[in-house]
Amino acid sequence: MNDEEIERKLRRFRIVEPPATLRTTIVERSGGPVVSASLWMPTAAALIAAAVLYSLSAYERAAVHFRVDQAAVARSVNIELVARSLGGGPQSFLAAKTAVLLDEPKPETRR
Amino acid sequence: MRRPHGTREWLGALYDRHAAGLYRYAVMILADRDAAGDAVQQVFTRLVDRRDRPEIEANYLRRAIRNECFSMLRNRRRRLQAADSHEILEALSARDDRPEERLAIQAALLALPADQREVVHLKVFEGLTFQEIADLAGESIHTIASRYRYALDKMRAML
Repeated sequence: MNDEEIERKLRRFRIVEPPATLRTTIVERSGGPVVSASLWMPTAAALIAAAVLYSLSAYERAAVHFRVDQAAVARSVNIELVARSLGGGPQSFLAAKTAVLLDEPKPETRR
Repeated sequence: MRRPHGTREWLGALYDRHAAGLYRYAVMILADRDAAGDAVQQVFTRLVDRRDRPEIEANYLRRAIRNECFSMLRNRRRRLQAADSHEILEALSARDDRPEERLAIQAALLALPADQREVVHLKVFEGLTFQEIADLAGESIHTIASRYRYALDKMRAML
């Protein structure tokens, strides 16, 4: 049997058609308006990046909280000490609070 | 074919125009009707996200289904070999059907490796030249011609 005869034998038949349900599966179930990935991908990427950065900054955030707590404790001790030295009354506490806050170093500002 | 913005009609028209050919190509590579349906569905599903490509050409789709099929063969070899949807040939008309001959040719086709079956399909059923097949497969024309030669030799021995 030569090549042409084999090809002729093959051409007596055809390859099966797709099942009718395939069109329904692909087209009808594709829904209405198609939302392109280019529309939602930037938002999704931004959200993922934000989540990653937030989790990566967990250590720094904990350190900042710790320092803020320490400063608050130190400030209240100082106010207590100054208020006692001024007599200990409500007016003394008010004056001590003002004095301590004024005495604290101010954050540097740029011109 | 120009796509009206994100419509089911666009996908439907594209399906009506290309799906049958893509399905037959997938059937010949995979030798599995169910898997071929999956491959076609994958290709069309991915097209939905290709809003940036206004022109979807037959060659692009053919290359896409080819990549999908060979990817499936690499990743799901065991399932594909176990599948039983291997009836891949049918008569041109019921009157012309010769079941014994059809089953013998089908058995000979199924005995070929996927890449040889692919070349037989593109050459005999799609009428592509060796050069066109080589361009599609990313192989040299000599490789494609050899595959065809090996395929016919094997089929000749079986028929």
